[in-house]
Amino acid sequence: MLVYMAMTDLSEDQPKFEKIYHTYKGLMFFVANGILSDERDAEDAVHNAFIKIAKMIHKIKDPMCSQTRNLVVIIVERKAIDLYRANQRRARLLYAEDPSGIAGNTLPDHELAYCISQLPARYQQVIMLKYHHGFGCEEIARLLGISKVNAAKLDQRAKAKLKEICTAEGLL
Amino acid sequence: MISDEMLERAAAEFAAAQARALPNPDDCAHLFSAKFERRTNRLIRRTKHPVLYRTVQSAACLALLILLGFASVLTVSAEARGSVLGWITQRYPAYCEIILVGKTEDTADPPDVAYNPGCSATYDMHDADALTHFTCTISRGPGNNVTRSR
Repeated sequence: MLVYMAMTDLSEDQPKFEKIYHTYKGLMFFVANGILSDERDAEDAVHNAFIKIAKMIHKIKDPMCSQTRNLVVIIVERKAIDLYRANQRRARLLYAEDPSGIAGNTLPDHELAYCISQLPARYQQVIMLKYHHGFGCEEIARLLGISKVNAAKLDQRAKAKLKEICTAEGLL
Repeated sequence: MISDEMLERAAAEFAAAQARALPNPDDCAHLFSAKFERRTNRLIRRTKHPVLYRTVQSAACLALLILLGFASVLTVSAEARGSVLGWITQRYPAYCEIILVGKTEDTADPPDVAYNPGCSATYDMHDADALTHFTCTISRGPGNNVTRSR
């Protein structure tokens, strides 16, 4: 029976995950190491990100498209920031806010996109997951490891902050 | 007011800018540690057989639950303990096992263990080296007994 089950669950998700692993593991390490500045921690963050990806592999249609690339970057960025915060707590150091994600360096030409780039990493991720990947609050909550209510609040706050930035930039 | 359509367009633009800022995945070669490779290969194996792994995990959980429940019942109920011991005695009526464990302090005078099966012969089961572990299996029946004397 076990052999039968092993044969039947060879679904299409299997090569997808392996493909994502082989294609993006280097990039994911680059992103995590940029935030954590520690190779061992970065590998842990990458591994945690892969665990998350494995759980939501059915949501990924094409492993090679730019949307997937963006998604794996968001996931590893989140995991790296979580690990960074855990390390900070362990070291009993106070910190003002999250470290800026990898998006801190990008300056898009589009005005509203520029305002998104000025958001803290956590807000950026929520905006990207909701409006670029089309995820609902429940999926965002699962992906970021927070409750559904918190995800909804985070979305509200992200939009409020974005509105604030847009007003300051003279867009609204 | 920022509409959802505007946000969608801006998010796509931002994603494109982010992609431009990141290096090409092929240019990010890194030699991962053996620990990482091992852990991730295990994860890949799991993704290959998700149903199998989930079933095995569920079966293990169920077995553990049954074992814990059984142990709890045995711990709190003397009646249950008696029933289980009674079942074991019924199931194996012909034999019983006697285990003597312990190391004598005085090696010059080790404990004498003798088995008298109810006849005139006495089988000396004295362990000359005074080892710590001694096991004998004897037939059960009227007149059979094990004696231990110094």
